[in-house]
Amino acid sequence: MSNWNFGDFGFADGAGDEDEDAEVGFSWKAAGRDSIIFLVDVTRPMFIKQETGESHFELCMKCAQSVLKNKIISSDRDLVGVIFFGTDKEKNSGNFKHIYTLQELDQPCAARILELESFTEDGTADFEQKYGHNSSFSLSDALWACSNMFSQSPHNLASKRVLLFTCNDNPHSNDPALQRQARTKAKDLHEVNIDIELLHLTTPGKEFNFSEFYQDIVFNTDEDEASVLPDASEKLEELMTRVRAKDNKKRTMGRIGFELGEGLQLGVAIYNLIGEQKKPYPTKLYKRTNEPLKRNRKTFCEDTGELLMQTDIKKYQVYGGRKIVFEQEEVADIKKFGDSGLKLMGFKPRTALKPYLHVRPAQFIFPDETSIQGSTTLFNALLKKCLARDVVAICRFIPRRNSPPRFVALLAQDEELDDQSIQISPPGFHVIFLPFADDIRKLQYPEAPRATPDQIDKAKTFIKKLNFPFSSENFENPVLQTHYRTLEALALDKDLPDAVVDHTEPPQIDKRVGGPIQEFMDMVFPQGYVPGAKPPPKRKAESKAGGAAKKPAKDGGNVDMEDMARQGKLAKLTVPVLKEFCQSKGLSTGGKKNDLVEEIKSFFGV
Amino acid sequence: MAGKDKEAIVICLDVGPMMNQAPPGFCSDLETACDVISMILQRKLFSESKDEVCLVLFGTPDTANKLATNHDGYFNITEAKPMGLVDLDLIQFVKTEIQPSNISADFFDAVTVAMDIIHTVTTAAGSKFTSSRVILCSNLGGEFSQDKEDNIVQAIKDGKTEINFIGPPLDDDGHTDEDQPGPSTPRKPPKKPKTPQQNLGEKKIKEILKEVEGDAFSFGDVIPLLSFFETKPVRQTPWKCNLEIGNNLKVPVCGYIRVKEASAKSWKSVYEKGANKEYTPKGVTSFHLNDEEETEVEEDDIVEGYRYGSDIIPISKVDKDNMAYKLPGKMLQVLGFTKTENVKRQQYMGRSVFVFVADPNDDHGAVAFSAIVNAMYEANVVAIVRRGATARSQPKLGCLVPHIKAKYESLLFFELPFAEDLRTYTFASITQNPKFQPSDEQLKAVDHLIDSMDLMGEKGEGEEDDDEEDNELLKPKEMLNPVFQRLYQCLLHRALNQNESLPEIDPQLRDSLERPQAVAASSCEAVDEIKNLFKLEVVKKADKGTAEDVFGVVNQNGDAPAAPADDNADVSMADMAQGTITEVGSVNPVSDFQALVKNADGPTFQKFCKQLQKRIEQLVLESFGSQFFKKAMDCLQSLRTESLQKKESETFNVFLTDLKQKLKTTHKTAFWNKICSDGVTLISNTECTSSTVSSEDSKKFLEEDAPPQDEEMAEPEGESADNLLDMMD
Repeated sequence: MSNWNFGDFGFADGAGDEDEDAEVGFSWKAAGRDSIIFLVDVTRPMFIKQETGESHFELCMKCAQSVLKNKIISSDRDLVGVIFFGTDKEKNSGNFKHIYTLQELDQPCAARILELESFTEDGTADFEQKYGHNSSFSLSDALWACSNMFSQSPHNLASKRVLLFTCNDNPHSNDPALQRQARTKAKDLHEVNIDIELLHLTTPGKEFNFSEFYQDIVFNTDEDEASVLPDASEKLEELMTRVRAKDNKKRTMGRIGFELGEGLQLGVAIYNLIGEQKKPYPTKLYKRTNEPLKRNRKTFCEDTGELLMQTDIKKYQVYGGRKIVFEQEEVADIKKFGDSGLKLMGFKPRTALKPYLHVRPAQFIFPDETSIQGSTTLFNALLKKCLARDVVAICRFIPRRNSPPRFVALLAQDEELDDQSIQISPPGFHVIFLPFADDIRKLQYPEAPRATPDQIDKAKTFIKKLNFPFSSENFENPVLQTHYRTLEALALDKDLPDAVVDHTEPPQIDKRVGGPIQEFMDMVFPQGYVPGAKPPPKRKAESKAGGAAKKPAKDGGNVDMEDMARQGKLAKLTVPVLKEFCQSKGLSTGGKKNDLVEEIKSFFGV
Repeated sequence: MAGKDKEAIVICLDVGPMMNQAPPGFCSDLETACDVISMILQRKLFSESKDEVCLVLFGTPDTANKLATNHDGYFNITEAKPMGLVDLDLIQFVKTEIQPSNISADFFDAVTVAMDIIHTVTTAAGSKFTSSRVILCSNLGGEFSQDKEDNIVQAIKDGKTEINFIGPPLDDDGHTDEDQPGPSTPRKPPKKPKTPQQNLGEKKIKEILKEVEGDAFSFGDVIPLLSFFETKPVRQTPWKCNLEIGNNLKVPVCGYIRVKEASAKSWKSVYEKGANKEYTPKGVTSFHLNDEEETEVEEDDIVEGYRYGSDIIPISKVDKDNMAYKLPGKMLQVLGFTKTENVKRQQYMGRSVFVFVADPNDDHGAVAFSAIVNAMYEANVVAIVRRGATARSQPKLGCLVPHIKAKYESLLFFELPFAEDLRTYTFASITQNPKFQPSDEQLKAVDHLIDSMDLMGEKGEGEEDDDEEDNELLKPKEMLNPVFQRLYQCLLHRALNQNESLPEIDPQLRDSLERPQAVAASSCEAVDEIKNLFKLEVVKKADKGTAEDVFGVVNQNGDAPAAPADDNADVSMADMAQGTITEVGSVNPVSDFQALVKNADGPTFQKFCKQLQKRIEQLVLESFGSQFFKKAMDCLQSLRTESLQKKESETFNVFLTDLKQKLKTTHKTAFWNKICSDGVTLISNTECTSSTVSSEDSKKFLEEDAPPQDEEMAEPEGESADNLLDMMD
């Protein structure tokens, strides 16, 4: 993970009173890492094979594996630990009986995943011998062990979660003292912001009675639902789902001033809401030991063999035959146009933002109270008015000090929520980068025949049937997904990586609209049409079928070759036309265009 | 502008007396004209244009042109530089060697000379010119004879020569179609009345321009003018492929880059060793083991690895080839169609826009293409496609948007993000939160702002969206990347003045980055209105720790002292991240204070003392029992030590006296007792000469209210508790 541009990271975002916002607004440095402990009941009932052919314990291990594998891709700095309770042996920092720390709280790695895998793959036969079972544990001790594990971590922890897996709804049922201790301990944990989540495993025919005991262990922040048993299967499913995607922590690309007019400025923070997720960059390793290598780049003078320092090197460009030389700092200085900031130039209707005005992915701005208090209200007013009047703000944008200026259009976006009041699109302005005249190519468009209304209507029939509600979320990058799976397979010694579903493969279009497409093709294409091939020599028959306006100049059949040759206009014809003519007359079709022209000329004796 | 175009350009520059008139302190028209011409030439030079330029001066004392030798007349016209590629010498000549004269010449004659030159070069054997242009630079002050007018017009029309006039703004007398392009920054001297001769000349030039469809620019419009002249030409190379819908429908298309960030010519490296010894440096990358000798490892012994959690997994070439994603090759395949609004503007990825048109060599394909484009347009959908640029490139997700113009039908192609590229951050609901709701009055002020900063200008006579005829300001098509302009300025300056440092940014260029003056002026009122209605307060950045910055922070927090535990949490967070201390925080007040006062004295020192004093009071007052007493005492002792060192006894003594009073009136006498038992008293004149307190007085200060012995004895227990709390802090 790169750690650039954290220089000016201060506090949370504008609206500091929004808890959620304040939390995610930190840079990761300040926020620390997420941590999870799997606290797994390993008493004998957990090992009974269920109808699925798998014991609860195995399910737990699968779950933990899945989480580790996901974490490794999404945020490998997060920490995961595994603790068994109800073992015969003990291993933990607090010397609690019947508590066994399988994995300390640490970053995920392949060895840990393999260890967890061994429980599901090699069976659990030797569990007895390795760890043993003993039901005289104390749940309070187990929780305490978790608490210790968190507090002993040398890392700064942003969130602390205990996932408690058990199938016993009433542990210590004969010992109210132990139960009381456990409740007290749970409360202690809650007070130091350790969340305990219960993943209860049910056996058919036996209800898991939440209110029996665990409702006092799991603190539900939502008071109303305190007595309702959360659906564990859903949670389990969530944990089991393999998601291979990097988890980008919300962080700003910078905080800048937005000047509306002379002496009128508000603060905004810049975010990237989209950004290409590239395949991770490889590290060079020594083949024999797999140890990482250090990269060393040196600059030599080839002629004298001298080792050069960066400061020895100057930069130049050649223009008008002259070498124009600059120092390296000067080259950097040329790009400097002043301090960072957005400066409002004026407003244009949104329609003036033509679709082709695009040079790089958009950014997003949101008010920043930490630099100028009161920014949010003004920002809000601007946002509302831009939305209401359907205008975009044109600004000059210098993202960082001394980076070159660009012009941008600020495109207002209102907040959008889904049925569950979850934000789909945040309120703020998208920063659309505008091209300069230098970036817009002046193109010449060849004239082309147009379709008839009938043909257009026919095309509409299949286009309408191929309509789908597009969302980028449904299209994973197959290259990235293959890479993750390959890496996973190699790291975990698998013979084959998990299969990738390539959503970018075209769907079965012909199955759905093969008919209308065929009808359309019959309408616009002559029989035996090969796309991109030279126009067939016989044209009359097809023009009825095609109904297209023909362009005589390009049409070999309609051109009087001899006439063209005599007028010296052969060079104006395209190579395919010339070639075709040569073919029809049995002339040589080799060589370049000039050769063809000469060939035809000599054919007509010009 | 395709790469093979080559233009013959003759620049006719008036150097006559009218051109040299300007009020003191302002540029004369001649100087301005030279600037404009050198900018045009500069762009030609740096875009490595193949166009050739010839410079004709009229109004010169001498006469040097072919027509003058062959015919009678055409006096005072000099062909200063023959037709040729633009080079630095030509620019240097324009910049430094053009002299004003006091003879005026006929601009008709000059144009005739120019047309003759063009005729000569374009009809010469082997001429590669594809077009020609005459640029007339004059304020039309000289006399002219009209007898050749018809000939010239005919010659221009025959030769399809473009003619551009650069001069003072032409007045609009009824000719609405000759709007000046965009009101830009008036850097010109106050408009001076035109002479009758100039008015006559203007009328004539307008007639001619109308006749030959020429364009006129005013001296002030340099930047839009330049964009008209030249951008780096890029050859229009097609990306050919079949647009596939299903397995059977294949439509041959050509894709061209429509928009892409232009990049400057790359810099090359040189190593200059002494005078005239230049070498090309060569970079070598090597890989080394992390051992003591830093053993270098051969390429064959290196394998690539990827991080997997805390492990790095080596992936051999074989594995890579076997397991990597099988690239689908070069293609453009439709995955489906979706409503136009499903693809949001802000989701465009990639760094270029392609435009797809039908392959011109396949008429049937073109008909199919036309049908599909129109059908998409009418159904208001875009196509979602995957595109592989080459056989070896990764497939990208993208969309094709129908784009229909009178002259062509096309599909614009934009890349779209994959699921992994989306970042779903949640932001505060500022539009809903009542705390941030603007009042109606405030909204109205913003409305005014939007009204007053309209960049569209007046609508051109009911024309639809014909791009060319409106007065829109800051059109991307007319704005040049300032980086290139700046680079060219520097290159030229360095080329002409080897040893000088970089020049200042050209003022015209600076202006082009500022708010258009008309907009700035008209928005003044609305800006003031907003300033009055919205409360905006700059939060001083706590980054440099100057007294000023700290003072700002102190003032801000002064009104509302918060609980010590979370007071200024943001500031201290930032401090921790930055490693600089800017004020006395609540977490480590002593060390903060010590760090701050290290180099402070006088008023600055007192400011920090005040901050620490505030902390001490806070700690004592908000202490639960004697919880924070230990910490407060540490602060107090540190304050005393530093005050003594800086000889600022007064500040400390006043504070301590004040504190004593406060402690007695509140219920915190326990802390006073602690002060007494620890013997922290006023600074006496024996310790510090500037003190007005005698050592006796200082002793008395504590004794007056010395606590009974037994109370003091009760302290230790509390103190150990303090220590514990302190450690946890």
